[in-house]
Amino acid sequence: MKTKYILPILVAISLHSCIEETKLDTNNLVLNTFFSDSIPLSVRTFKTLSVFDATKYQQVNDATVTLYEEGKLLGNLTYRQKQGQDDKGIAVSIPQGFGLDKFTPKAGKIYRIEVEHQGKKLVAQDVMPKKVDFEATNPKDVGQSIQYDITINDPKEEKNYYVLTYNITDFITNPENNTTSEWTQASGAMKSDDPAIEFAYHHQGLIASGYRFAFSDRTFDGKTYALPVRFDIHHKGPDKQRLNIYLMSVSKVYYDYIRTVYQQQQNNKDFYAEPTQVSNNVSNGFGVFAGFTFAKKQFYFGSK
Amino acid sequence: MNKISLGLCLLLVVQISWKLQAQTLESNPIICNQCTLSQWIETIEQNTSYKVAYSPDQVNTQVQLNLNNETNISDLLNLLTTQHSIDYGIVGQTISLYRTNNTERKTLSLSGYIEDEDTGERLVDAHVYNMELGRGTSTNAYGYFSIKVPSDVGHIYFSYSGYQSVKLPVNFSTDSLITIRLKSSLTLSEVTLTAKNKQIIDRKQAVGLLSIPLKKIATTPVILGETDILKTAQLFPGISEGSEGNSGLYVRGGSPDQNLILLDGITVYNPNHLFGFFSVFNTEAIKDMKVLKGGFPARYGGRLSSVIDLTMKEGNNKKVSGGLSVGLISSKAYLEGPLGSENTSFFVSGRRTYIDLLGASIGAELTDFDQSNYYFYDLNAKVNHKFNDKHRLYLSYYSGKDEGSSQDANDNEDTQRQTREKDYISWGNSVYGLRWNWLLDDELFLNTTVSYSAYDYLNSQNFENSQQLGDTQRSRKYTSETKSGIHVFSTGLQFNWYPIENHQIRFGGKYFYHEFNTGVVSSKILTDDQTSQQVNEAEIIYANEANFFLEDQINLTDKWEINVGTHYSLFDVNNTTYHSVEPRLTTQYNLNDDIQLNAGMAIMQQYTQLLSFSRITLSSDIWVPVTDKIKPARSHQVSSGFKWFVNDSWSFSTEGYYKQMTNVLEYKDGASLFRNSSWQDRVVQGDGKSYGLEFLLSKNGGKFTGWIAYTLAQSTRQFEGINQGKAFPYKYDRRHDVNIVMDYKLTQNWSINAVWVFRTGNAETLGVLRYPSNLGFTEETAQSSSDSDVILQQRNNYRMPAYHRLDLSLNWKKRGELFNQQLSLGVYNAYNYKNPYKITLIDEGVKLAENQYVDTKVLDKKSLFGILPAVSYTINF
Repeated sequence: MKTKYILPILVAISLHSCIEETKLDTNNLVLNTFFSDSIPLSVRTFKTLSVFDATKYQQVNDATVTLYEEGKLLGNLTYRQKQGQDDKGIAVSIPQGFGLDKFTPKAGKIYRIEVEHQGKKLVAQDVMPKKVDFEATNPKDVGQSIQYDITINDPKEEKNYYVLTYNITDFITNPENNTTSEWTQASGAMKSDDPAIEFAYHHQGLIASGYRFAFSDRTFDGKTYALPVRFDIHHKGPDKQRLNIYLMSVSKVYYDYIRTVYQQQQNNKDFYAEPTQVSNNVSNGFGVFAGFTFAKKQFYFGSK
Repeated sequence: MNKISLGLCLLLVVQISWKLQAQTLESNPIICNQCTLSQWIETIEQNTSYKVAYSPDQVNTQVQLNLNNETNISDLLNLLTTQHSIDYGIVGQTISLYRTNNTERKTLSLSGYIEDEDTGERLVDAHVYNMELGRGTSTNAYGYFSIKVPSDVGHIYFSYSGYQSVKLPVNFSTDSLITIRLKSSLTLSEVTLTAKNKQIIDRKQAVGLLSIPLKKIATTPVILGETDILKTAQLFPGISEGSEGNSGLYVRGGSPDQNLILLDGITVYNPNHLFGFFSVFNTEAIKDMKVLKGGFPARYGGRLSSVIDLTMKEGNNKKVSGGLSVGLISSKAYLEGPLGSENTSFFVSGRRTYIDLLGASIGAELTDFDQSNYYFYDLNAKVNHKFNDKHRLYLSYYSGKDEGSSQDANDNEDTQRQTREKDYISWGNSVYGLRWNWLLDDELFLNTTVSYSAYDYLNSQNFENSQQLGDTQRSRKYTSETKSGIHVFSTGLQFNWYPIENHQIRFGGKYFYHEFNTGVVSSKILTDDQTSQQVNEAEIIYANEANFFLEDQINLTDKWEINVGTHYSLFDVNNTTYHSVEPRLTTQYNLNDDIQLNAGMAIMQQYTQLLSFSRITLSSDIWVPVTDKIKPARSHQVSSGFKWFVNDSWSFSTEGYYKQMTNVLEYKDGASLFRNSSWQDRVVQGDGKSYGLEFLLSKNGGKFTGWIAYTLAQSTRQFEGINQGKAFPYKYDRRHDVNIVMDYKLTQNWSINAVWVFRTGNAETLGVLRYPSNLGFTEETAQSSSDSDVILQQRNNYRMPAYHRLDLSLNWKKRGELFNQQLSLGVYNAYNYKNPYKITLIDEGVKLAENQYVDTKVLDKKSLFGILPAVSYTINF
């Protein structure tokens, strides 16, 4: 009977290649760059690594990197290093990425970057956003924090994206020589229950907390909006402290990137959440090339 | 006597000698008690000198003659002439019978019910077949049939899988309503149906239809000795389980919410117990199960991928009977019988697990908690009352619930810190149905239904910690509660109309009133210095749905049958109304006695979908309706195949399908249940596509029975915003799916059973590449290049290893005078293969040099079940 051949054929078919091995192509190039009118340009390139590989990332320093403004070549970037010390005090070269002298991006202009390495060419572009100013008013002591109303005058007729961040500068006086040194760090966390905040490192229910808040003008497009934010600042000591608040105006590319990075970090171990693929605007590779600018307010606390 | 040849030869002679017939007939009395024409002919030939000639094409000898027990030949022939349109001629000592020339064949309507002879249960989809015409029909969900047959043509066969067929002569002179009682072959010595009868039964199976005899379910081992209807269905082509032990059905690349699961015609929204390891359907309570994977008749609608139509037992109306089954983790019992008279019967069954009764410590062993309890139960009940042959009332009830709780307490004397944790989870279905069968006349059957179906989910968590710091006590309390559910009231009418020969027309409509609770998540944090409360407001959505259908099952010829129809539906929610016209067509063509070709197409629309997180399948999945933002999902499916009856025992069938789905719902990348936003903002709609080939080789007769099922398939999804808009494999995309089921009867009492399953592993989202993120910004540090890793998580990029296992069971059955017993011993996963249930990446420290470690990722594979014993003992009386 012919049917006696069917079983072995089916079994043979089914046993053949049912496991699809995941191929790890670790030769993907990564481009990480935020460009701004307030900081020097630093284009960092890497290669992807397997998650099973414990090796540290090494910057790719032999790539050809070119930058364009509105399609017009601005120049070839050069790889830079600076001298420094490692943890043990040994002199080492610290990679600074690719840079371009006298580069100041202009608001509203589109910048394109091309990275060529070992036959691969990465291309990415983004716009330089316009700076949006803000006020920090109405300070209130709330427990160990201080709350300010961060008031934003959101420009009309355009979609705006923001990142609010801060750091604290401690002025530490040496009583022996009466000199003062500065130490700036991102310590503590901001907190807010304002519904405008869309993403923060911790966001449980209405309470957003973290070092950065990301939000768009989704709820206050074209209006003046006051965002109450608590800053964790311990200003009870004898030394002076400075609270530096930054309202970053970021491009949509920047916003999507930071939003998805946060989401991925938060959701990785949450079964009630979907995995997140981090936003990527680099064609033929991974990473981010995005523009931002910022406005800053500073407040001093302490005895001096 | 060779009546046929003799009859044919004599026909001509009869015509010529017409005038000679007036010769005198013997007037001796002949005696026959309540006889058919055939028996009268036999009596004549035995008791007189006459021989009788006729052609069966013209004369139906099974006709019951309305004569006295004692008569003479002359009176008999006169009766045939006057009442049965049979004329006669006499040549010598031969009486020739033939149909009167000027008489048109009379078509009679034969209708009635088909029942189990022992229990009175009405049989669903039993076949009624006229072998001479090569046409037939089948009973509806209430065991009713109606067929038009010529008054002078042969026999009607009544058959049903697992029952002895009955052959009934057409001996009615007027339309008749009858009740046919079939004898279960299980209660006799095993009866093997003839090949011809098998074909009668199998020929009626439409494209995409899977009818699983409950006998197969009872002998197929599944996990921990529990027989399970849905798990057995997963052993057939085109139907697969999600992950190990999961009773969720994934039919032809569709998701579980795309299956319309009906219990006595009422939708059941969650068919799972214990996160899907068991289905909610107690095998003891189910009478009939049909699974439609394609070629959906117009009477079904509202889901894209399949229909699982289950009918509960009605209850034995002859005698009280029952049974008790004791297994490793649960026991179940049933009782059925008449209530007062044969016109009323009841059925009641229950099942409960008893892990919690054995001790909370067992649950605690399985979890990290001090105390952990879990149980589920099912309760089925049904009462039916027959007022008369035209009216019957059914009342159905089902209730099932899963409930779990856990408690944990820790006191740390060193830190003076105390923690208390208490969790509770429950979910369950409730189904109520009232149905009224009304036989308006022989040709028109009406079923009226009023039903209510509900599914509710609740999860609460309480966490409290406190710490004594000197004179100060600091405390923190956290409570959260998550609720969701769906409640549906429905009422409908369904007519079965048999107006003319070879047509069975169904039409009707149904109205649904939905109440969706799309999930309330509330949490409260209470600390010494502040209280925060978050409530995702309950979004209760009310919706109206109605559908109407018209379908006609047509026997075009004795070989060709089609079912054509249209399903129309509308759904109204928040002042937005959606409409859908869904044409349906299935056709079957019998190429010859052994080979049947079939094909079908269906357009389906779905207004409610289940939101599930891709990483875990829980009962917290939320049913959500269409809204003004969320559009209905729609599918187009075509399928075609053939079935080959190789011989009396073996059959082989294959079917190919192609299904396209639009507007299927998925959580967006990064969506979280606990994020403060409406569910509508957390979802995205996109497309799905699946296609495949299914093969089934079966052996049904003899000591050795079983089947091999193989499916070769592909299923993909595509959403804007997920996987950069590119198509990706569906989580349960299975390239290969093989199921081999074998049952061997060793002796009258002993049998062994083996099930081997093999399938391609699931597609999981697993980040296997990393690169540095770019988050850092301060004015001083400007950019930091390595805040953390970005993990490249392309959706469903990682293929789990193939899954396979072998289950074995040894069954002993003994039939006794008072009761029957069955003992089953089995092993699940006999060769103890550690199938990965979940693969995740975990951090592990790697030593780079002395005192220098770095974290890296390793794959953590978790298996669920190794080899497991199974024992169950069943007693029926």
